[in-house]
Amino acid sequence: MKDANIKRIVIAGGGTAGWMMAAALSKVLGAKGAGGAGIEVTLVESEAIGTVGVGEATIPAIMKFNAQLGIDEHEFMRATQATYKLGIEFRDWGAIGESYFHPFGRIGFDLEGIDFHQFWARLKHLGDSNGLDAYSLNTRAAYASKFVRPEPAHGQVINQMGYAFHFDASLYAAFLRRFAEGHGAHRIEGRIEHVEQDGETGLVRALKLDRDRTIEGDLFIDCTGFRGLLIGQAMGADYHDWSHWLPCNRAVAIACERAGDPVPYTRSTAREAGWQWRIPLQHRTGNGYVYCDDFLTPEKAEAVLLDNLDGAPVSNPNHLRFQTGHRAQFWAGNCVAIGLSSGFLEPLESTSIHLIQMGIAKLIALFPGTRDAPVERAEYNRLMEDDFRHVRDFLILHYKATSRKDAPFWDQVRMMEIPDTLTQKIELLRSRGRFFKYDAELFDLTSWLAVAEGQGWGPQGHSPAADRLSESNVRQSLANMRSVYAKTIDAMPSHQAYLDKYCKAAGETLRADAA
Amino acid sequence: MARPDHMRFHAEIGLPLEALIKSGTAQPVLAPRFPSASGPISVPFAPVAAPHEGVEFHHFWLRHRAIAGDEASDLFDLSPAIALDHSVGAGAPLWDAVLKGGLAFGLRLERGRYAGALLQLAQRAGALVDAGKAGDHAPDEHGDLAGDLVIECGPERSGGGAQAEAGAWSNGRLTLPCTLPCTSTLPGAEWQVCVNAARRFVGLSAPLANSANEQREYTRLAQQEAQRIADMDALLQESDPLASHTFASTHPALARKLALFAACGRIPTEDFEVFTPPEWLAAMWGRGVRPRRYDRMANRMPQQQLIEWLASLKRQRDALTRARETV
Ligand SMILES: Cc1cc2nc3c(=O)[nH]c(=O)nc-3n(C[C@H](O)[C@H](O)[C@H](O)COP(=O)(O)OP(=O)(O)OC[C@H]3O[C@@H](n4cnc5c(N)ncnc54)[C@H](O)[C@@H]3O)c2cc1C
Repeated sequence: MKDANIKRIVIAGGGTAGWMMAAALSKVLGAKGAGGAGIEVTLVESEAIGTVGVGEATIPAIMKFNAQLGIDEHEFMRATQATYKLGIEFRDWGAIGESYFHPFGRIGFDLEGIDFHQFWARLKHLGDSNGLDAYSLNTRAAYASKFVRPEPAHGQVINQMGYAFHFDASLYAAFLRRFAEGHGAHRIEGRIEHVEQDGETGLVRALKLDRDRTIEGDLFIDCTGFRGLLIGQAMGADYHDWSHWLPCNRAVAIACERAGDPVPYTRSTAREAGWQWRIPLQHRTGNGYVYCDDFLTPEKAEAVLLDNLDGAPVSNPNHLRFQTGHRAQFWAGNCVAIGLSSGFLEPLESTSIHLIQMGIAKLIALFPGTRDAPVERAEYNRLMEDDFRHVRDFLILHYKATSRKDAPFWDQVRMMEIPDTLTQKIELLRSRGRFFKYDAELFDLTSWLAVAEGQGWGPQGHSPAADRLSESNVRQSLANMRSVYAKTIDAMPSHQAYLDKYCKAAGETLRADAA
Repeated sequence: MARPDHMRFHAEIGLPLEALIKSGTAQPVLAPRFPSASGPISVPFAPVAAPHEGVEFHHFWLRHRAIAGDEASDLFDLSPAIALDHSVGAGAPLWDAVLKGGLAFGLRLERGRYAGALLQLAQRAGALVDAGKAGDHAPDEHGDLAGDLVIECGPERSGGGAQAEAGAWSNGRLTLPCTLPCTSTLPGAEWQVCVNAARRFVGLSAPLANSANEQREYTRLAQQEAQRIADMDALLQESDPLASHTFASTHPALARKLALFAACGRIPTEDFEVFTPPEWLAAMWGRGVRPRRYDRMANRMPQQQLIEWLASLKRQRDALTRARETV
């Protein structure tokens, strides 16, 4: 058997992607790791260039990443001024004046092996006014500003809950930096000026830094953000543009003072040419307006954002441009792009950090034995493309399923052609609430149902299987569920009380460097 | 033969395993023999050993073999499922040993009695069973059976009228994918696809006049599943699977599996797989496909711990073999 010859990994960039990568690689493959697989992990970053400064809301899958690193959740929350996130409230998406909640966790309990939502849809069509919210512990807890961390001993009701975090992106990177350095990763401060490639194979040999420094490596991870210094500029990987489906291409972000106790959910409010986010942290609130510049100028976007803050701004507006899509190759030669360098899907469902996590997990699973590993590379590229495509389709649903006719932006997205696979999926869901999840698909029935129903595209019928129980039996069962949820919520501590008890960050300093 | 997943189906329809054991209808199967171009291959349902810290056991085994320099040993020599299974020797394994062992198992079912038990269950649930006589549902002059939906369950298709392609649902006719040729040669595949088809149909059932979407989805899922079975069949029947030049175009997912497994010992899974990764491993291994390297994550286990782990697996295997021989 050929001995593995990857001995040095060089990570270019020290944003969230770079430090997540450094933390994971140093933990599982680094010289200090168990058994010492003995790989040297070096990260190069430039403080002068800085990071993108956004990316503060996550989804529950991040728990797996933290668990794999052995991170203590409360310690991590204290260090990053984090709050809990139970889902996302969408305002004005289906129609102006309407709102709905996309919760994590489960909705309702199945009855006799038949999906809960089929019974709910049956009653809905019989005139019952209880929405999905009534059967989601997450939604009810979010609106009551309650939180408790589900533990196995809590029983099945609380364990229906799912949660994630809102955190300060710069503090998260700093937290992971301490972790990675503690596990043997080396950090080099400097500007990458040139990428040196092998003349024959095109493989990357070294990064040339300012002050005439050279960092050699066997495997290079491009975490240089939208610049894509290695994957794009050096390796020439093309970009697949998806902006015909997801046309937003700019954002302006700003942090403001918090107004009252932070709520345990993100808010997304649809606006004239896109949408605005609100992410509550312990010390401040992050805000941003994601929009399409065919329909709105940056100045107007900034003005709308400033008009819609909960408190006084505590940072300068951060204007960003992006293009929705992904690299044709996420891994080219001996260079793997992770994070914004690999592609970007707008932050509507907070999926970018998750896609970083997916990239890391897949790279570790397919870790190459040699600098050039075409088979592993092809598989990695296939899997990552699948991940991006599945998330893309879910995001498109939010835009397509709208009845807004108040602005040209909404006319465009309402009337756009969507991928065939998505059309079939939406039709199945709309007709009788049917949903088949692909293995690699991130969002499950709960998510698709919550968004489709919330935007007026919910099931119009139900499965005949849900007629197996008598109407009175179904009514009684669902009433019981509502009452159990109500009692459970009553017994939960407030989100703020839970934070105070377990996760209170030291100091109340307002950080102005990130939105 | 019924695969392990069949037990879930039995639970769904209310057919307890104890009843099948008591009536002598079921015998356990831990490692069915798959026919192949190079002779039968034992394909255990259970992995040889559990993964460690996310790394599959065969990577550790490969590392151990490199350390021990023991070229003659085989990964599946250590399989407790094969050691227990009757297919290697002395008759069916005892139920108590199988239930105690906690390994995934399937069932070899006595067809007549099993069909009788299912029939009884169906009748109790209200199905009209009119053996031999079609009654009101007699075929018309084209040989088509009357009914809003006709489900074709056997290889012999009825009628000369509109027919659905194997595995498809269209035109008031649903053809179970067990009519696909390869399902009959792969142990357990035939019944598995029937169970999957039943589940899929129940999940998608809809008023017949208004079910075009459901029919399309049903057919799409059934066809993907059929491709996964055809992949396994091709792997087994090709004289030299790794050298096949046609797989890339005829069985692209299989070509990917083979290439990746040979490169680094990983087994990629596709949507709607019928066979599990331990089964793919056994089938590829049995066809002589070997990884060129193991996952370097396997190096994280201290060498002494690895040696002790392998030794304990060997002892367990020996104990199972001795137990079988004394039966
Ligand atoms: C508007 C917006 C909102 C978002 N919201 C969310 C969200 O809510 N949830 C979510 O999951 N994701 C979100 N994201 C995505 C998220 O911000 C990113 O996925 C995440 O921050 C990772 O970024 P990165 O590390 O790839 O890039 P960056 O943060 O840009 O880091 C790039 C690094 O490369 C370094 N670098 C670049 N060039 C050089 C050079 N020449 N020499 C040396 N170093 C260099 C930089 O200094 C920096 O350290 C959002 C993105 C945008 C644009």
